[in-house]
Amino acid sequence: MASQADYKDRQFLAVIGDEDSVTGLLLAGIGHVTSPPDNQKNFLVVDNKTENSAIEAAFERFTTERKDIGIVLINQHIADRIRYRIDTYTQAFPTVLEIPSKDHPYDPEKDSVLRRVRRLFGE
Amino acid sequence: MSTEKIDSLLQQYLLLLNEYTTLRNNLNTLQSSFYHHLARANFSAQPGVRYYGQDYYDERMQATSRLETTISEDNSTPEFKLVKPSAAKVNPTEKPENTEKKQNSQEEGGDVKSISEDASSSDQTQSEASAPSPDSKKDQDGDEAKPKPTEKKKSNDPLRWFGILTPLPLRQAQADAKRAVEDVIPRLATISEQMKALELEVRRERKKRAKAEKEEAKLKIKELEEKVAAVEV
Repeated sequence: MASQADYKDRQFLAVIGDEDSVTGLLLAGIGHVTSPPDNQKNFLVVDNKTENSAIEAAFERFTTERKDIGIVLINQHIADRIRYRIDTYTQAFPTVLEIPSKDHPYDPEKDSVLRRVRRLFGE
Repeated sequence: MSTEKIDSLLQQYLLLLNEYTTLRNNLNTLQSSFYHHLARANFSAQPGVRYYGQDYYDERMQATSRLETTISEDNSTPEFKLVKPSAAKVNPTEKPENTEKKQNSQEEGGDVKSISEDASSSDQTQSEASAPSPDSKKDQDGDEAKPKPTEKKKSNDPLRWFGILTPLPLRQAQADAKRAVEDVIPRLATISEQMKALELEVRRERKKRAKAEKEEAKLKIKELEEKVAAVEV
């Protein structure tokens, strides 16, 4: 299904989330900024002012353009803002995982994995 | 035949789903504990610290833990694991530096002592005789040796972005985040991929079964038609 070249260099996690979620994941040591002149970050801090197009662009960058990312973590309430993009995402790499945030607890109804489960059982 | 296969696939699928929901619960508790600790850290923030957030991120940060992906042979799904390559890489590079310095200090100290000794044997005696002297030196001015490793840690540990004396809640928050990232998230991603692969397989088997059923029905209709024709004759 996935060739060796697809996953060999995917050694980073990427995050799209609110400030607290990103702070937590960076504290855990997954934050990475590529060497200059690129200076590409593997995270995006989203607040109320961030536009959906910026979120979508970051999602596109992490999933399609960059070949060094293995897992993309995204806050569930932010994933809701680009839900159509998340639901139609079918690539083998990277894996997209929705995580809860401080103000928006995890909702199994919206989780894309559990939605797939319901679809499989014909609901 | 195919129904049995589908059943066994679904059984595997449900086991994975069970693990997925358990891990989700773990992640939720870890995350809520993290947010709680971070809120406490912000509440009791040191003077001068506005908010433990993006203002303090290091713009040249390097990941201290990285993903290691392997493809399982049975269903060709990826398995994610978080490893810490930096710890393994930093130590070997640090050690030679230290030993080189030791050797230098040994040579310097040895030169003074072994002026009258032979050149060939002096090297050996230097290392033997002067071995205790750097140790005693170390005790006296241990400050020289100690800052090196702490500097390394400073640059690696993201906690240092927020200052040298970070509050306890922030360290607790970091511990929660580390557990979530190291233990739960890679496993969740692995299971999600395994479930995806199983879904594909179940769908494929269902299609096969539907096709087989159609063909069976067609055969039955044919048989019935032949029987009807025989009766009519």
